[in-house]
Amino acid sequence: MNPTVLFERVSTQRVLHCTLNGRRVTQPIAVHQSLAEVLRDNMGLTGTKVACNQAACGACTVLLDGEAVFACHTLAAQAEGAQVQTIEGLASGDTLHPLQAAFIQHDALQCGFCTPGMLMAIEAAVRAGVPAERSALRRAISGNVCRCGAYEAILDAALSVMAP
Amino acid sequence: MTAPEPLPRWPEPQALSVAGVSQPRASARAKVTGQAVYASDVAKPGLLHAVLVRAGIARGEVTSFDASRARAAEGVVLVLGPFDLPAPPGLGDPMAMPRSWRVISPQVRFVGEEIGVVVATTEAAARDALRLIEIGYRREAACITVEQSLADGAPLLSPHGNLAGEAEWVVRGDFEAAQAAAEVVIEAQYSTSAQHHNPLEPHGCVAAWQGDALTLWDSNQGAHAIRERLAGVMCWPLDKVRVISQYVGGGFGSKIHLKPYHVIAAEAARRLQQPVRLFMGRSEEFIASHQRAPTWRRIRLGATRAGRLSFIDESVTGQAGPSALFGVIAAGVSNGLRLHRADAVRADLRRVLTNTQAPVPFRGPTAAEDIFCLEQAVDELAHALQIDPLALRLRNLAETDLLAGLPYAGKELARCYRLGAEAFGWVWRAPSSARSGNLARGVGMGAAAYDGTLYEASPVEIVCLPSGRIELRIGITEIGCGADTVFAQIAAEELGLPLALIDTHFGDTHTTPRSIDATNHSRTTTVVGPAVRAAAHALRSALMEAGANLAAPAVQQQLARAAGTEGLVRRAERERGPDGVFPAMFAAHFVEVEVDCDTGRVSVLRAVCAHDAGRVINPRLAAGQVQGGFLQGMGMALQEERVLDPRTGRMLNAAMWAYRTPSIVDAPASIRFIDAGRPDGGNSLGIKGIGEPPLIAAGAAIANAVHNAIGVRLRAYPITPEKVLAALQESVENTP
Repeated sequence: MNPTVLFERVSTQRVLHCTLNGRRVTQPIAVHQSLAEVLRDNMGLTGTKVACNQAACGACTVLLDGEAVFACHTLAAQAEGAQVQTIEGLASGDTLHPLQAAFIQHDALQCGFCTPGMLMAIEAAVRAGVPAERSALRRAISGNVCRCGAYEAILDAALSVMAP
Repeated sequence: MTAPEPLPRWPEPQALSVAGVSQPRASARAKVTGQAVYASDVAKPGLLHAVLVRAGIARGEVTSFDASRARAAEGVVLVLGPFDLPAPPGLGDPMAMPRSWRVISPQVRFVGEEIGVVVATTEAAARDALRLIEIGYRREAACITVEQSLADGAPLLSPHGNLAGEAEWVVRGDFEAAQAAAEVVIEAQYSTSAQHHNPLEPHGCVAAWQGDALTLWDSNQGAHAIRERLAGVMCWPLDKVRVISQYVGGGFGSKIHLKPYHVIAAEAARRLQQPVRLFMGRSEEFIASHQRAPTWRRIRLGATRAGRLSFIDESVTGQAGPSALFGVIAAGVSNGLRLHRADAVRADLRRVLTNTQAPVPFRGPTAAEDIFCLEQAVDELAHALQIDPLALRLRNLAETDLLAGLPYAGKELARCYRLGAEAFGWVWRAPSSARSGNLARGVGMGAAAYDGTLYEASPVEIVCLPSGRIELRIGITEIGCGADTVFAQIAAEELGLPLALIDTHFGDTHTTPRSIDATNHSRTTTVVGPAVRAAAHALRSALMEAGANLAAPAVQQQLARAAGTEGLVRRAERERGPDGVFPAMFAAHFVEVEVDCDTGRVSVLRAVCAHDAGRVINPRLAAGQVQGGFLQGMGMALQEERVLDPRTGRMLNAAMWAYRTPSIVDAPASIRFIDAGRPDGGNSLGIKGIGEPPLIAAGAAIANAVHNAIGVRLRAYPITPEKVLAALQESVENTP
């Protein structure tokens, strides 16, 4: 007697084409893979962290066509033809992005696990034109959790860059 | 190695140049660029993925474990159940606690306990295979709550009954006399909830064998202790086990101890001769990575009408989980009892066994639970006496440690009160006196004490490398507190060299000397720091003997020349602990809250946190510890609560969106750190800890401010909107 088939994976491979941190990439993926899995496991870009895998903490935040998304709950296939930016692409070579320098200066981190996602969320907020004002910025990055509680320094750091 | 005599004390802060000045965090660049490699980032060729099989019942025994279908599933390479691993030797080693000695056992003591593991080529395949395993259980009646466990006819969870150990009694002074002398007595019942650490990086490791040698990349708070206990449980030679923990995404006490996953990952990798990755998913992080114990207590305080504290009387119950191991973490009173002077104190403690996860230390373990409640009781006493709560505390400053019977190595609690009150603008006002529409504002304060006595051997190696750079080698794990930065500052100060020349190397058991068990108990800087200084002191002498001019402009060349081709190495052990004095940390927090009386929501508007941390080495990093600690205390006070189904023992909010920790919109506009300390007498550096007191002091200050805002007491933490609304409703009904 044949065993009962409980579930079956249909052929699910495809090739992702996107621009990742300014470079065109062609990457074989499985359609069920999240963007975070592809970045971390397939491509070795482990700067993007997966902390909850429940779209509830923001640690995996990356930019998809300039907008912040939770990479743990974005299918990699959704990045087809898109611009993807991760923490690895924030600095220009050895020159830190002003937000990164401000994070160091204000000590806007402790364990550092939320830091890449936090930086990408703030970068997205800046690009989206969020005003350089504490309450607006708080709301804009409210999906990002820092369990070490560096929020005050994070806001100070971000506003030091955003303020004209 | 015996601890040596301390060096002469460092001079007054003004005479120092690097220590005491904010310096950037040493790890900051790696962390902001995404280059910092955490254990969960480690990938090895041929990496396999392990997922733990967890018990679905609260108490009983696994009678059958049929994994035949799981083993046949695509991608699955290994399944181990409770009958596949021998009981490891080394039973009874209490330091292998809390559960690791069992590794995988058919006995089930709480929902989610590890009963097996699936290893597959992908994590998804391993998780899919979980549901193909057929598990048979023999169920036994369980006790999920403390009430169930203490009820008449409750199932017995141990041969000795349902208490973890004996009830503990603490008595100091003539309690009867103190009770007779009291003119005003208050009594109330309080409770605190189970709080989950919820570090952003979950527990887990990558285990890889090369021949008979194991390397474990692990997210922990003390790599050397994990290594020793793992080698012990596996009966493997210590020198064949290496643990690497370079960056750790938060711990807060949860990652001190060896856990079943360490052993299971190492054993699976050994059997498969392939590297294995085993990390908790977020729900597993809640279900089986332990938490702070929930506690209940009745507190009675007596005082004279003039506000002199006659007695403190506490009766405490803590939830100990399924075994007496770690029962001590379930409840404590010592830091509360040492906070204020009293003629006499009395406490009894019961730690109750239940079929729930055992508690493990969480930032200020037992002290936070105790002081959250005790400092509310002190506020209630102040109201009964009609004395400003600040004035009441100032009238009851302890000069000697009640429990140790020793004077303090340094105590600036009065300065915390004074400078904190000044910075806050503390003016006592009547409850409910600042209300506008549905919004009520209130101010509150609370204090904290925390013992600083957990000393362990902590040798430090310092090397002047042939490059002319200085490397500190310290066997700690750095979890984000900034100890690496602070140690480099201490060495720079002692050597008289630029900080930029000094690196701190840590987090690898093969390249560092064994240090303290773990980064915990607010003691890493205090215990290891003096050893860093002593090592730097020895290296300075050696460098000068070798002819180096440390004041030269091109000092790195001088150092390189002195180091030769071998490098120049010096070692030092920690200082001997102080004689005849008791080291302790102190704090006073002042808070303003706003309560929305329509929704019951409490918002903390601002906080001033005055701390006596002795000499502060890096004010900016210290401020970070204070802000973070305050927020975790705020979480415990206002929102963090484990919800367990009292029938099944299942956790109902094991998700980050359901168990909410403070977010950036919950955080007050400002959490201001006031350095109220002075160089302490506990060590030659004059330093004390600052990791835990900020959490401990936060809760009661917030609860007292809530009372001040709405005139109603909320004695069961967390103070959620539901409880606020119910309390307001009740107060309306009770108003004549």
